[in-house]
Amino acid sequence: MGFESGVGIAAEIRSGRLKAADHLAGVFAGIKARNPGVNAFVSLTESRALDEAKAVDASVAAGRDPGPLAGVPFAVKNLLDVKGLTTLAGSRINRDLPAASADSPLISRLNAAGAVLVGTLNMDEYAYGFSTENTHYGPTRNPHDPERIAGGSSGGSAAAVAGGLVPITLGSDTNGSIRVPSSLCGIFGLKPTYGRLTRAGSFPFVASFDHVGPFGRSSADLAAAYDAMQGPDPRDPVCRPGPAEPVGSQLRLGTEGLRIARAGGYFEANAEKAVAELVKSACAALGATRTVEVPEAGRARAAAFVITATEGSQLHLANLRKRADDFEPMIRDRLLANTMVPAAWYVQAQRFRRWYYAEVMKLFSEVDVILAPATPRPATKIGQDTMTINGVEMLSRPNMGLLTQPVSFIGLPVAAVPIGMLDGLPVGMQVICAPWREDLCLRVCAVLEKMGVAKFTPPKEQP
Amino acid sequence: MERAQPDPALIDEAFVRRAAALQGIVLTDGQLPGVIANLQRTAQIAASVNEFPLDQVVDEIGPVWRP
Repeated sequence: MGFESGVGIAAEIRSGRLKAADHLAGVFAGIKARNPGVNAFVSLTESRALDEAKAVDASVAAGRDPGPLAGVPFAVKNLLDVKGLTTLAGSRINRDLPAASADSPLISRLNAAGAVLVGTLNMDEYAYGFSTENTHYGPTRNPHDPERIAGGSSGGSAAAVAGGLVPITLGSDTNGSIRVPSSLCGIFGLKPTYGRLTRAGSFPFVASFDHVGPFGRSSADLAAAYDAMQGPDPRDPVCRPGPAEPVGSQLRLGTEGLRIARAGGYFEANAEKAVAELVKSACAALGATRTVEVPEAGRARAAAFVITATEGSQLHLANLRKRADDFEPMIRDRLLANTMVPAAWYVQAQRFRRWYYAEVMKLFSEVDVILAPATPRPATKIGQDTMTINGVEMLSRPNMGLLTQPVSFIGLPVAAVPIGMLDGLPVGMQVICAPWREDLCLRVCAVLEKMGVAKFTPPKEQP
Repeated sequence: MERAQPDPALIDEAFVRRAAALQGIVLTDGQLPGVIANLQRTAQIAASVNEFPLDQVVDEIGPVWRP
């Protein structure tokens, strides 16, 4: 028990061969046994989960459709509202806020599909980080090596899936916070197009870049969760109006006819050679021989940094005035400094974003899919301050997102897929497509999975 | 139009104390070194964006980003 797929669990429960409540008991036993080794969960929702599981079992017994994710346990990054719990967003400060009065609509939609919420997950404070070394709640540990980071900011979401605690989790991605932990924990993650999934009921970070998306151990589980969460929501001003565009039925369409290219230039220069070689192998398996250069990707990363600094700090200005020392020590001084970023830098970065978007769209008139490494290297050690990439020493925490920031900067859909192990540590690849083409991202994932090029590798020792 | 480049050397104790005060923030001595270092780093990173030539009209930002 522990590494079953979400869709597999749902099939068993839908058929009546497995009771959701029975399965849930095993899930909580597994979480209690393994969580101390990874520190992924911050809270459990046992009573609520049992009610939800019993409702699924009652539906099956009555001959009603319990939903495509019937009885599938899931957990959420603790920046999503869960009714009755305070939305901590990894902070100490938010403990002073009242409990959420309603669930995030994404949780409600997963519940409506039959999934069962089992708890909330650790993260970098206010999503500002790539390592989940959270001083208030302790670091989340990588299931493949507990001395190493799980990535962040959705580190708990990735570790819970990679450690076999739950099959599906939700996280958020502003600059790479789904793709970085997916890569470092060796699982699948989907950052949909900006505006695809509602952000209502989630604690924000940078309004210009915030996304929410799922983690799983297969493309089928990603697609099932993603499809269940789609749909318009007037409570989020950037959420796309119009009907859902389900992708689950398209996973078997293959990649024939798709123009697939590898990102060279910046994306190759900022990844360790061994990581770049794994991406090249994945491209070769897909028959992709073309290399493209994403124009000004380095400047895009810089502009994302400036916009993040400005919007992220302004969000917390009131608390920075009143109680700066209650912030996470690793981000306190950064947030304070960010309040002083001149408006001219911010506006220039936003204007550059418009230019960059137009240039990247030209690229998507020539190709359908761009493949790039998700992180410069596998996981660093907890407490490690610097890393060296291709001979260049740099701060490890902010630079783990070097390769993800130029992509989320303009809201492109990206799937992160595990493409190999380096010295026992996983590393992932980004499958990047044009806006609203999550279907292509997941089709490529499914093909790579079928070929055995992309796969989840369980940790050698269970946490 | 040429844009003035941020000079990290301009970001010193006097500057950050005044800039913080403008925002209603009083920096402690313990916060000061980290704040200066972080703002200097951001200035270096912002420089590459600030020097990039853009068309002032075409490259207007939008209030709601819809890719």
